[in-house]
Amino acid sequence: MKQQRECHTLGMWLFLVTELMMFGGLFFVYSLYRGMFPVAFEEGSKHLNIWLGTINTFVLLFSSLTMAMAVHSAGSKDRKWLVRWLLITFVLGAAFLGIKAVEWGVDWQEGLIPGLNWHYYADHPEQAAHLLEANSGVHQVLMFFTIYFCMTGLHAIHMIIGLGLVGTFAVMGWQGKFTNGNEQPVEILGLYWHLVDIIWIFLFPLLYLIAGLMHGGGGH
Amino acid sequence: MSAITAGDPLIPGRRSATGEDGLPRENYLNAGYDLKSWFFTLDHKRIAILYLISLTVMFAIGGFGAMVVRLNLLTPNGLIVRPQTYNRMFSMHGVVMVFFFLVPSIPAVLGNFLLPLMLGTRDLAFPKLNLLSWYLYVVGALIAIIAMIFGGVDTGWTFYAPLSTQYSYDNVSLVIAGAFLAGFSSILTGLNFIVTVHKMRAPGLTWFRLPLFIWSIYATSLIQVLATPVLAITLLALVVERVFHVGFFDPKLGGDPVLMQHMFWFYSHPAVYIMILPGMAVISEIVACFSRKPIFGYKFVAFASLGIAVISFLVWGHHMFTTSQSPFAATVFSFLSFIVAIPSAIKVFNWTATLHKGSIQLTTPMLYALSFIGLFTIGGLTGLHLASMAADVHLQDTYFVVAHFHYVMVGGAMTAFLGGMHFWWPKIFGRMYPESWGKASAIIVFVGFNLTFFPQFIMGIEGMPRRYATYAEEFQLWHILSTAGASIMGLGFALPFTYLLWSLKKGPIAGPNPFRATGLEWQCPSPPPTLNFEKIPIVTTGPYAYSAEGDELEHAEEQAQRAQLELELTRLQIAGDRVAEGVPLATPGPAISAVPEEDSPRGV
Amino acid sequence: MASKKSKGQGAQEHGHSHEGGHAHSHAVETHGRDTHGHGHDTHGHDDDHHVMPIKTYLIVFSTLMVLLVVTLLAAIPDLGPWNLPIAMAIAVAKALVVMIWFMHLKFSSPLTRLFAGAAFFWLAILFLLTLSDYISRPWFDVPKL
Repeated sequence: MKQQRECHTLGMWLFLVTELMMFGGLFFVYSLYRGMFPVAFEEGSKHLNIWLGTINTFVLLFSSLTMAMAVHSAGSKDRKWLVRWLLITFVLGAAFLGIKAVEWGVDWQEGLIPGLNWHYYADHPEQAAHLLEANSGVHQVLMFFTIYFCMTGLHAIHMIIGLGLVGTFAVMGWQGKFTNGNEQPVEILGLYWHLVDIIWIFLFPLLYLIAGLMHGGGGH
Repeated sequence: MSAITAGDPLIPGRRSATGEDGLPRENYLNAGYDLKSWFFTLDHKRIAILYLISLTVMFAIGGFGAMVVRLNLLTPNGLIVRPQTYNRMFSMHGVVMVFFFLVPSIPAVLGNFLLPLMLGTRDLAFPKLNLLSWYLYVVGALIAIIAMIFGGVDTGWTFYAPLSTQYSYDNVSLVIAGAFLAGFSSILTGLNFIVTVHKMRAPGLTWFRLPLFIWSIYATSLIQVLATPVLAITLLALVVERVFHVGFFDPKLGGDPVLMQHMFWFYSHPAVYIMILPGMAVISEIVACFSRKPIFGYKFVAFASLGIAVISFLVWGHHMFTTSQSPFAATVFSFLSFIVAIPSAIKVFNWTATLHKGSIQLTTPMLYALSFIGLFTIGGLTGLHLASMAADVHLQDTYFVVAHFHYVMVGGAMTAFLGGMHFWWPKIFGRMYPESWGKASAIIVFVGFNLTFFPQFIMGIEGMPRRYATYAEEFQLWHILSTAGASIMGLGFALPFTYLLWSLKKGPIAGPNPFRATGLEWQCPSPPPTLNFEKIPIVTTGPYAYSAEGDELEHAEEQAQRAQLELELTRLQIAGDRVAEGVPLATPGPAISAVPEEDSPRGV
Repeated sequence: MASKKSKGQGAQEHGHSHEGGHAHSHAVETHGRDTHGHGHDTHGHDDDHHVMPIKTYLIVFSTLMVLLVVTLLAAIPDLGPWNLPIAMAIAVAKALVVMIWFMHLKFSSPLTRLFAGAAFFWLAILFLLTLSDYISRPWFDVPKL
């Protein structure tokens, strides 16, 4: 059994390695284009809502705690609290996605979604001039938002899958499947959840805080 | 290795473990005949067979593409297809052969089948994940086939932007989706192998007692896990750009097409080592067995495998020497590309040293292995030509490149795949293939291959560009030679397909170890039972306990034992006849004496 | 992405359905444990059976909250090119805290830690080598974008 546990832990870590490499590719694209178009990226970042982003960061960090508590409960064979912690984690994750959806809704209204609904340049002609002055090129704000949506979108997909798993595990946990000595699956789910949290830990400053804290946050 | 397996009819009272057809009564092949037992199997051996069948289908499709390409190039103006179709044909050939044949090939078939056997364990670490890998592969392949039915892609297997993202009218997203799934199949297989090798070795099987096959497959798995995710994100980015017209790689929107190449080749260069390392894995086993010698410099070969895996990540820019990549980066990549040749060369030297003063047996697998060593060397050396920036400026995107990679991928990986299939065929199916057909096919493949691709080196140096449907007249002779070679090579590939299938029903029974190889996989019956080993073996020695003299002694020992047994059998028969006739026996019955019986597999 | 879902379930069901096979491996494991040489932790008992006290989790969470506040505070002043490295350093600290305590890297085998570290090492290769191209382009007469 120990061998089996070690196999599962190692296997999940290897999977996390692949996730890191995949997101890493996107992070690289971000790094490159931010390095090339710093002014445009700063400008784009100003249109993100820092407060919602901060709340989301808090929500996810808190959900990592509740997930860790769920793992703890499974190990202590505490069925009731295992399910409770998993459900709280679920709610937190859903809240995260809800807030994200709100943010994206605002972006849609402001015409900031590349390829689908983009009228930033029409709305902000003065910014276009400012960017050209900074030798940054007009289109790089589009690049910022493309990268923003790809990164948060891929992250959201992983959140959705995570939520599905947490919900499923809550049901199975309620049936007592993880409090009979078989707590390892919860631990492994925890590893996945923490990774999704870690990715957000990096996304938040990279996307939201480029222009610093005091630019007015969200909207204009 | 002379044991009579338990159940031999010479020992009365034991239920025979062999069925009437001579194969083991209960093996993984006859443990359930219905479709459900195959499509929902968790047995790594069955999954290997599933892969073998799907891979063969994909190979045929990719081969068809090659056939159209080569036929079309018989005349300078294109013989049989329009240029657009030609573009789709070579693209399909590349996509199918790289993503759906070579990358899985040896790991998915031989790796899946042999890894647990060589490790002395019952299955991989994650059997269900293994089955999922296969399903992902199949779905990916089906998507790619559907895309091809709708015309495929004309971008080449490299999907360079902006052709793939903006200008191509073909089914780029669909083919990319197929490749994406195949990539995940590859990742999961690699993950499975890594955990299995770390955690599920038999007792006593330390790292340096592992067969070199395992070392190379392990190195391959490392690459699969680390590189393929970057391909995944690159493919996703390509589709996003194509669908939403954003600007990752579009200069008009601030992007850089070379970025796509960076990210693509970050995976695709290590990918070529995913394709060749398993080939090297097979060659190590075959060369040791048919030289009757341990591999020379075991640790060097083991660490060379790891070295190749690591350094392979540092050289991708050599595919981009003729882009706007900076000369500084290009120099770094060029230098590192020379370095990466070193561990490969170490392996070639060590195989050669193994052959030296070995007791060479020119069996079919050995012919393929020798062929590999030669052809891989040529392919590898011509890689160095391309690693030199000054030469590459002239050779990039010519047939020189095409010849180079076909030498390593077909002359190397494919040859090793065929060699490995022949070497382990008796283990997998319990029956021997016809040796003379095997040898003939190996030679035909060798001749056909060289005739196909050597002229391409010459063409390339003389300036024939690759991926061109039409060409200047001066190249026609080389193209004709090349196509002629391709037909011979095609015949060489078709032959094993036929006689191997034939051998399934009509081949002679192979027994557990027809080649007298060492290695845990040869210690169980052929085909193995579902759970591989009756008792988990305990390993006490290193992997290649071959010796030429020891071999002769062993052989003589076997002869002596056989003679002894025949003597006993004759005595029994005489006694039996006497009993039937009612004649009293002179002695109380023959002593069923020293019949050597080993009920637990001997550690290697 | 479909693979992930099944993996979670696969990993969970694995413990149930493959009992027979693993019973054997387990029986043998007790013999072979000494020869394995891998997966040794310094605890002398199964590394998965450690149960971290709740207090530790709360301390870890508090640390993360502090770091979050620091992240925001550090974003107030305009430090020019230093804003990014500082923000990244804080993010790295948060990530390390999560990995070491929430993800139990503190109690994991050296092999697991090696694999965790390998991902970052390989990402470094991707970043550094590719950036070396872009950073060095201006050094030559390479056409700029």
